[in-house]
Amino acid sequence: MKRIIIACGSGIATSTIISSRVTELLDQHHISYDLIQCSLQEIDSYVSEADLIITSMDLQKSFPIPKITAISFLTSIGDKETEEAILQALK
Amino acid sequence: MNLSDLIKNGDFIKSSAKNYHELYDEMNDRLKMMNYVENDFLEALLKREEAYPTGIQTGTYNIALPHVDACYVKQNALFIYRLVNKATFIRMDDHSKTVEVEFVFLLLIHDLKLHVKTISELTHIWTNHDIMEGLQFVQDKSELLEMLETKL
Repeated sequence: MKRIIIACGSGIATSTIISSRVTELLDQHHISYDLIQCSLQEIDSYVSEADLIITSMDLQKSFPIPKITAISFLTSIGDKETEEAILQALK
Repeated sequence: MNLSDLIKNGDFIKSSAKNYHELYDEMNDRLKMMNYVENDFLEALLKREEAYPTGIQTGTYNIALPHVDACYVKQNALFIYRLVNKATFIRMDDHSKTVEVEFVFLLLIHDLKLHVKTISELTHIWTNHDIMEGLQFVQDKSELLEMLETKL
């Protein structure tokens, strides 16, 4: 089971878009997951129990787990590369 | 509630705002008049833009996706602004870069249970080249809805 934080400014708009893409991707690859959708300020409180952070935003801060910027899920430019990076990070 | 419903509740507006401050003032005036937002909406919108910039480079028509927490909002609606002069926004994914924005999608979410699918469908607008081309020519909300009906 992989725990993934999906975060944006509010934890509502762009993180919802990213969540639905990540859900699709992980289902396709039969990876079991637990998604935590939250605002950027809330990342700290979940980070110790998570494997990966996926966000639309420039975090301006580093965390002890890997992070992937998935703006491509909003623009569809380079989204295949982002999917690949997520799968690699979860291996 | 689907994407068309959100637009029916919202509007398509051409604006000559030259920067996001002018634009957000304009949004605030309109939305207050409609009774769509709380009194501190403008402050929340500006604070959010400064902490979490919303410019997105899409390759063709760059966009911005301003947004505030649900507590400042009374309605679910989508307002699409076309900036005739374009305006500079800081990029969401890289705060060291800016982007010249032509279309601003102001998503108002009051009801947090608003279907995930609806929010996700938003990307179908700006990733669809035909629709973005069409947005250059539509004059009002009814023309926008008509165009989306055929192209979405």
